[in-house]
Amino acid sequence: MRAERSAGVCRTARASCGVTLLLLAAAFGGCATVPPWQRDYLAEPAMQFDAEGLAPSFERQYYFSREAARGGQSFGGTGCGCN
Amino acid sequence: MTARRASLVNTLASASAALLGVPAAAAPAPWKVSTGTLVFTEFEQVSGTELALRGTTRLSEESDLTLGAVLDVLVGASPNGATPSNVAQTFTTPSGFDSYRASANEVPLDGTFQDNRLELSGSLAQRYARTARASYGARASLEFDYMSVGVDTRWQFDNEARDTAWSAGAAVSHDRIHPVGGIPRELASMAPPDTPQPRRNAALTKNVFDLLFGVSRVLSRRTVGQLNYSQTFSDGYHADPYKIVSVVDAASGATVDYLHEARPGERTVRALAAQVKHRLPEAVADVSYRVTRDDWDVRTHTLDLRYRVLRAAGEYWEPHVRLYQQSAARFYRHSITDAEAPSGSLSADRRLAAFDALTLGASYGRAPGPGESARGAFRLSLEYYQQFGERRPDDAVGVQRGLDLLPDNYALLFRYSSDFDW
Amino acid sequence: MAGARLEMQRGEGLWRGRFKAMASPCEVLVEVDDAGEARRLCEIAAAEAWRIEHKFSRYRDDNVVFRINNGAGKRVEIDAETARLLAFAAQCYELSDGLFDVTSGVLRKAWRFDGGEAVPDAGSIEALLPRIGWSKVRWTSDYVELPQGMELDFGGIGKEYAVDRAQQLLADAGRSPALVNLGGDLAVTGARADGRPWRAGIEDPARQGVRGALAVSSGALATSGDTYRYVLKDDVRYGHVLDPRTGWPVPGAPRSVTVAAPNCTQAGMLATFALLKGAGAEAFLAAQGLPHWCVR
Repeated sequence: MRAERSAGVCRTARASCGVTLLLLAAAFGGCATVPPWQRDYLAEPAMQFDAEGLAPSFERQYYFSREAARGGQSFGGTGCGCN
Repeated sequence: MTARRASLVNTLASASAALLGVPAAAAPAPWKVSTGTLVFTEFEQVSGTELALRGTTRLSEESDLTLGAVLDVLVGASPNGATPSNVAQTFTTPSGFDSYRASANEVPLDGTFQDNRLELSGSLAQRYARTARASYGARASLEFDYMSVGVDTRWQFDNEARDTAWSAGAAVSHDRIHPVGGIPRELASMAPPDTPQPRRNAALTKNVFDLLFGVSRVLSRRTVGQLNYSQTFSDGYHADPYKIVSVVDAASGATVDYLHEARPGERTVRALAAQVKHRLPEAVADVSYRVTRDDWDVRTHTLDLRYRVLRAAGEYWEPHVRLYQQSAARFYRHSITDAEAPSGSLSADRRLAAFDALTLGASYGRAPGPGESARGAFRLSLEYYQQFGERRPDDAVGVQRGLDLLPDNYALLFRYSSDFDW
Repeated sequence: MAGARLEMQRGEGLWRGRFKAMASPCEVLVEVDDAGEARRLCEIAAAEAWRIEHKFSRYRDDNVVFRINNGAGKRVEIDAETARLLAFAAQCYELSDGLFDVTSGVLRKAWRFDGGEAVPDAGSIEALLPRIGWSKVRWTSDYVELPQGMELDFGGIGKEYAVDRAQQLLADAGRSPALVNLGGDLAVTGARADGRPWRAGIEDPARQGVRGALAVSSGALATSGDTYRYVLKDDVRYGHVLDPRTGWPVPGAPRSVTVAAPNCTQAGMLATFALLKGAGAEAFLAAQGLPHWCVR
């Protein structure tokens, strides 16, 4: 049963690498330069990566104290005894 | 010819609207303030409230100052790491003077702590050139048994065409834990109340170093993407001094002892995250995926999906799904048998167990656009979060087989935040 | 600002705030009873007019225009508002096929439109032509580079822009209907309380009083013309609207053009375009489909 579980984990690992690479490609694939007069949508708040006030820090704090994952979006955020 | 002339009026109309569209440079209110509240309940376990306040003011053309404060108040009881048993169990409180009980078939919860936390932070954002920005921050967090101070810096560089931004950041923090009753000796048996407890120091420390590299890119008129790599190295005391591990009889499965947990003195976590936002007609789709690995053998995957339905006047509805998967730390055990001689690291903290987690929620809010007034920006969220762990692990022994050793953990979260000028 | 003064007067059902800005008589009409509130609103409008005058006047040595005009070919950093004005000037240059050019202000070194008789000689005008040309200006949303000897003159946009900005601030600041009038260019925040329109007079260029009255419920009015600025020699009237490609006044231009449009900047630019069309002004205005008046 241990072997089954680790096989499952290996499959997941490979699948996750695949998805990451796909998103990587998506993140870097675009080469078109968008001229300034076409940046209307890009200026909207929903299209920003670092807008949205306090909601993301609430989320990060909550997941930080319930899950073992660290990092990825921002860092050094919370020092608490919630491990 | 008439068609060309008619378009002149329209072009001039939109040109003059562009000239006048954005409010004046002279902003009367110096502070941009955000306030937020989080209220959550894990039903039989911990419930809490978090209040946050943050304000930003312009110091000069090139710099902004942000100050923030967070207050956390938690009540309730959290699992102490021991597994449920078919009989009632008694535990010694961390102070060593008292005891608390768990009924038969019940997940043991330690309700003897009160956890209030205050955090103060400040950061300075500076613009150096048209395309270079930096921020410098400091933070101090205080609980009655834990203290953390840290500094961080982040740099960002845009290219000339402003469609790619590179960022790099570093953070250092120093944590000090001085638990009630002192730091227990690792893997020592929990002593009964009012007897000498196995203790090491009164307090221990931990240092954390973070590095973050990222790039964001405009992919098309309607798409932006971001890729981040981060590495966290921590050095010092990592264990939870309030948590224990059950030792069960190798034949019957009855609990015979409790050991204080032990964790490695170092941890390195690497994370890679990618995010894409795409503007559809009347909606924005936001997909992000993060994978992490560390030297405790914890591997995690996080898939976060948001779909923001845009309505009039900057208002929106945003359903949200988050899928999370975590593998167990190599020293995680739900319990050990008395036939084993534990050494090195050992923990039954469910936060290091293998589990999947699901978040389902929706938000409603108003986010004013570039030409609109900042008044009235707010966000309301309601979310459901559940962890799905191995309730009946294959290596359960004896009486453990009939019990849910890692019951599902679920929570309801409510968040409200709003922005205003002051 | 030295000499910046606001005088309040009570009228029939409204307050009138009078001040001087951009070398013109200005007034703000607000339909409100309370004197304190009327003064507050008029001060907002006057302060904005003075702010824009201070910032974009070419007669000052402590503003962004001075730094740009004395940049001697080097990059001068500009703020967002200045960048927006440059973007607007660029679009007007395109729309007018090069007739509207904010770099043509240097021609004032040759022409003096004071009602006198002095017509400059061709040589002095020729000498100035190389210093004119919007296409020689390098600019982005962060900086502008002006070749040595060239100047930017926001005189053709500034007053109308100030009217619109003051009108925006008044609309944000209170609920009282208001009219902002800077030297004949005006905009309203809405009709008067009982639905009546505001009444504005069109001045006769021959200075014989008000020629006609307009009822304005919404939007703006702007007038371009040579009511006060011209040269008259040998019975030939040289209007002050100059063709930047030749350095000479546009021939056959009407004495004055008034246009009504949703905002003052748009109205003023259409009126200016009409003048630049010279003899074809009426035909041009007729094709735009907006209310207009030409006086010859």
